[in-house]
Amino acid sequence: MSRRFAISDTCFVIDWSYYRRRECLVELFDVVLVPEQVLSEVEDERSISWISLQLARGSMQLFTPSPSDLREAERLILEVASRPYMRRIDVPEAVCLVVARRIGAVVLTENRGALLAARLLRELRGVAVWRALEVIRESLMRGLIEARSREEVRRAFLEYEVDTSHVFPRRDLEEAVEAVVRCLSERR
Amino acid sequence: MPEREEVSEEAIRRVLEEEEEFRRIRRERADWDFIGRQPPRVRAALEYYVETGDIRTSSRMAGLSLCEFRSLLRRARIPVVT
Repeated sequence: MSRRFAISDTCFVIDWSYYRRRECLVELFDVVLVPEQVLSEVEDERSISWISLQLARGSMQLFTPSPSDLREAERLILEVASRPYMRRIDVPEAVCLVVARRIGAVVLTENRGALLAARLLRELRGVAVWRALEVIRESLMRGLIEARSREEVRRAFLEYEVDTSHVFPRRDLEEAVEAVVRCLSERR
Repeated sequence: MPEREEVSEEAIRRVLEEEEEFRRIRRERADWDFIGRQPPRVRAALEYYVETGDIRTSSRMAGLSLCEFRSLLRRARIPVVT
């Protein structure tokens, strides 16, 4: 069986480290790659101490992009910048996108620019990009976060909003809750 | 030179609608008294974030690191919406 990789950008990992159920992330993936450019941006004490613990355990690994990854990331930044309806991306999230495409990893991001690039650019089609919403949804579906009722499912998402000062778009949240509830009832 | 791919007008319209929705949420939840009490550079950066959701540009505008700016957003009750 192939190993399941994710690659995290800065905003995701900073916020995720505040979530009371944060440990499910490292159970969901074999390894979460943290690019050098991302690690250097994390200064927050709570975030850096959680990341350093995961690096020590081997659940996370520092990733050094190759020169060709960096060239490709720069090209992608310019491609996105040339489109006024898209949100700009910077080196850390661009690196996540091009490396994920190359190795088949899941990108973990809360960066709107990265989310839009993956959604709108044909060259990134097929790259899986997950927000915290998708990570929590998958964790619930796989039983990494326990929930027995619709209320408990909803609570897992709302706890993230409370812990991180994040807001999930209501429609996306409702769809995620519905998908988890359906999955749990099929399993019974 | 590879041919530039086009994005459908429908996809662009959806993106712009989402942007408007997210902006409205940030505006409604923000603590404008807190924002108004900040020094000009930080206040401008917070207002820019409310309008755009672009944390990197905002943090540089404020002269803060990404983590410091994220912490400031929490204090200003401006949510991250994605």
